[in-house]
Amino acid sequence: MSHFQLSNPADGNSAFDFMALLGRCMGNFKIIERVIAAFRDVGANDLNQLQSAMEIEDYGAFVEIAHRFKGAACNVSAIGLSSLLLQAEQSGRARDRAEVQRIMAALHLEWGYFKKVVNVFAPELTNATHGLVEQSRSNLSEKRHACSSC
Amino acid sequence: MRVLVAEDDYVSSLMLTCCLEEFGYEVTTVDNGLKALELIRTGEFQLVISDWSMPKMTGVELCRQIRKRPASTYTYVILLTSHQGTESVVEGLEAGADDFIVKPFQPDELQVRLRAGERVLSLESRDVTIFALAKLAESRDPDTGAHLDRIREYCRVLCEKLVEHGPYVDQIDGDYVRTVYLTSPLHDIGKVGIPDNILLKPGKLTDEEFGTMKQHAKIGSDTLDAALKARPDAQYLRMARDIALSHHEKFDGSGYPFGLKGQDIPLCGRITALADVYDALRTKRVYKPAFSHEKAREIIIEGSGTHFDPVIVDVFLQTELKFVEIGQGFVDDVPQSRRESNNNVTPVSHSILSRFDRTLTFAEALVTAST
Ligand SMILES: [Fe+2]
Repeated sequence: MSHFQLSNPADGNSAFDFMALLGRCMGNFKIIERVIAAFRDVGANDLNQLQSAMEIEDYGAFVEIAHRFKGAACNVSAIGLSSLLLQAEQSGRARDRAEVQRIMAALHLEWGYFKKVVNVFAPELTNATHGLVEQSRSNLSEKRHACSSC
Repeated sequence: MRVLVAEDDYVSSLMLTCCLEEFGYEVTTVDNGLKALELIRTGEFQLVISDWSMPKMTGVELCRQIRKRPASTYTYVILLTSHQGTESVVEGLEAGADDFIVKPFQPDELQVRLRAGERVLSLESRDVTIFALAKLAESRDPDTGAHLDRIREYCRVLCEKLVEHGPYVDQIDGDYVRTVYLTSPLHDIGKVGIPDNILLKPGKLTDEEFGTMKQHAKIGSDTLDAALKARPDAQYLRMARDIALSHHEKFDGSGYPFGLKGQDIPLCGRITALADVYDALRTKRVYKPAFSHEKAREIIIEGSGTHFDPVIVDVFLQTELKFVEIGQGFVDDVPQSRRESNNNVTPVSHSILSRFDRTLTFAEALVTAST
């Protein structure tokens, strides 16, 4: 584990590979802040949706959300989350209720840890972006997206 | 350059957008394949990055839809995939994807792949050069106006129908349609080698003059053949040569330059022949008025099996409304024929540039266009 890979104390696995994210954002901290802020909002929403899909045993929706969430987690180098989401996707496909429940519990823990970790990198955005991402998500669609702050 | 990003995950979409904008691209994003297809249909996007798994329409299906649609411009599609292994690559390639990027993407890889896409798309500028050359050759002929624009559109309409069903489905695919569209405007490029006193002569040509005029098919084909020899891998030059050589052949063998019959005439030549004659019939000449669509239709039906391939005449009848629309869409805006005021023609251009030099120059330009 590199110096910049921060581990989840619960299981010792990496939660977040900051250097990988820095590379993917071409060393641009503005992009990192923006991406993490977006992921914090979108991820919270996806986690809630996953929970609801599990509760009503809608495995189709569960797999679709897990897949999308996994893509986002991979992009922000949230290693722990993406690994759990891969398992969630596989268990959802197998309609394995017990395994899905186990993974959901682990996901909630990992999500909490991830939020703490990323506060180190984007603390000023912790509360500022709630609600804004949904708005910018619709702004992003079907029109030119000006990423001027990046 | 504009890039369309189709990605349902907002975070991935945001990261892609930020990177692409850093690279200097103008980015538009959508969150599903259907919306992407709608935007691609506007013709404003030639470079598309699409996620593989998306709601409403997957990236693979989006590729299939893009390739199904006969378009005059190429759309370069890069699929983003978390699937690794040859199976998904094969599926993507079969659907018509040009390239793949495995998620999570690395910016430098993204940039390299986009540059490769831009290089492919730059070949399209070749198409523009070819059309410009055809226009240049045509500019000596005062009777043509928007003839080339209409010709390629008529050819496209015929090909699009022939690709659907009928005896030629095995010979025609999307690539063939595009190449006919690209090269049919070169059918009369050999006219560049016809002396002005014949090309611009008002009224009827003598038999001898007509004999000279007929040489345009061979001159054009020789010109394009010279270009093809320099670039034997350029398939479009092969088709351009075939069209130039065979667009005056007739289905019963009574045409020129070789009196080829039926299936011996290249299919692209048979298609262009009908398009060319239809346009000539519908256009006013100094020696004839512009015929109505009905009159032109009648003449084409009469020529089925003698002048024209009956299969192509059938296809023409199935698509005749589109012919009418194209005729209305590309109206000649040239003033009254130069030929009418050309009773005293001095073959100026002919004397400045010999026939040989002129065709050679065109061959060189075509080779340049294909590099
Ligand atoms: Fe001709």
